[in-house]
Amino acid sequence: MTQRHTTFFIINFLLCLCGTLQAQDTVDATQIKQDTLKLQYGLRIGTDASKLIRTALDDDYTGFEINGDYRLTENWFIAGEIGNEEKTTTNDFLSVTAKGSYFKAGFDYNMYDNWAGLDNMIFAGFRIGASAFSQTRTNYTVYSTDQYWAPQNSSSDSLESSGLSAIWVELIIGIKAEVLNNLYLGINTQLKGMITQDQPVEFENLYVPGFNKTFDSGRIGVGYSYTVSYMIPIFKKKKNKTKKEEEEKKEVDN
Amino acid sequence: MKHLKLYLLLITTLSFLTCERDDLCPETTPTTPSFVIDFYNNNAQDSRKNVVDIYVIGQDNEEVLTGYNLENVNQLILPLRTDQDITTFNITSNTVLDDDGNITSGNTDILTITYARKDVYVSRACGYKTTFENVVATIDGGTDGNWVIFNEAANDNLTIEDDTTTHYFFYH
Repeated sequence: MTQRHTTFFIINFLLCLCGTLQAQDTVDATQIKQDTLKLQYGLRIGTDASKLIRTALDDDYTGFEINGDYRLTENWFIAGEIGNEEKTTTNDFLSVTAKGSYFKAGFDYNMYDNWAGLDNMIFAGFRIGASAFSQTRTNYTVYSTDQYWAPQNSSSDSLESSGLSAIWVELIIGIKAEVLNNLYLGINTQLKGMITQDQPVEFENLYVPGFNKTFDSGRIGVGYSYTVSYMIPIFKKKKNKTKKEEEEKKEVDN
Repeated sequence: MKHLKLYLLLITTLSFLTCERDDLCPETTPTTPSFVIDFYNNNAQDSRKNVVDIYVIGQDNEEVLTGYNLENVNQLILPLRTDQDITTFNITSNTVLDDDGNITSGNTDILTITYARKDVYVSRACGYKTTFENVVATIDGGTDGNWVIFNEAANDNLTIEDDTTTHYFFYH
């Protein structure tokens, strides 16, 4: 008899526990519904303002870029850039013009926990970039440490290497802030690693459109962008509670 | 927000990396080579012999070549012209100059070096260097006769791509 009672009690207790847990679940679910906010999904299209400014100020540079991203999930975005650049690299001994187009595609991950209603980003991402370009040496002067016979030989025989291509990867970190409704300003820097590039015969690429300046010492490249972009809204989707709200709730509970 | 400073720091660090760091040609990089001649004793052809009071000046050049203004040397390092296929030097031994810098005493030989030039890409900062192929040196003793009695190249079809080795041997 006692044993039966005990068994009954245990079963009852477990059922109760389960019931309470279930009840807790339903409470949380309603809580989430109340706390959810709508998150904007859409195509964000923009341009790199730094390239426009540089085109206006720097005689040796012309460049234009269209960039875009699209929200896949709350924090993951598919992103890409397409552009065209012409850059003349000149020093005392060499003048070379690189000219061509590039395309970059990859993903951005937003690491920033927005306050309710805001849609800013601190993000990290990666890209695979490709460029098709040409490089033209317009003139050079022979380098010699002994200037007894100065000036050294100069040549302005143009040497064009066309049909060159390059492929690289990029790590990108940056921020994007919504300054007006659907209008975003951003800044980002890129660290690039060259995978493969066609080098001109008996010469080398000094600049690769999209990759920027190459360094003698290796495959590393760097870049930066100031982005101005506009979000073309497509649909809104409910957003999960943010961590902040959860923390706030915990504090209230305590 | 707590990570913001960290990100800003990262961005700043990356932007410093963009500073130009390879736009100066390092002195250690081999660029246009010079023509290297060793002087040997014509009577004992295995031993080096100094030229006393050497005086070297390029034709069509008003400056005496630095390092060869009345020096005693057993090696001559000559810069070659990169704008034409011939370079000529007047080389005087046992030179005596007057107060105006004119040669009053000594034996002058005319050294003519002919070659084919080839410009080779070095790097972004150093640009191009000139290398010399089919290099031939000839000596004309002039009216006062040769003091360089015999000369020979280090090898046939001499090519000068660097100046770490001797290219020609002069016996006197």
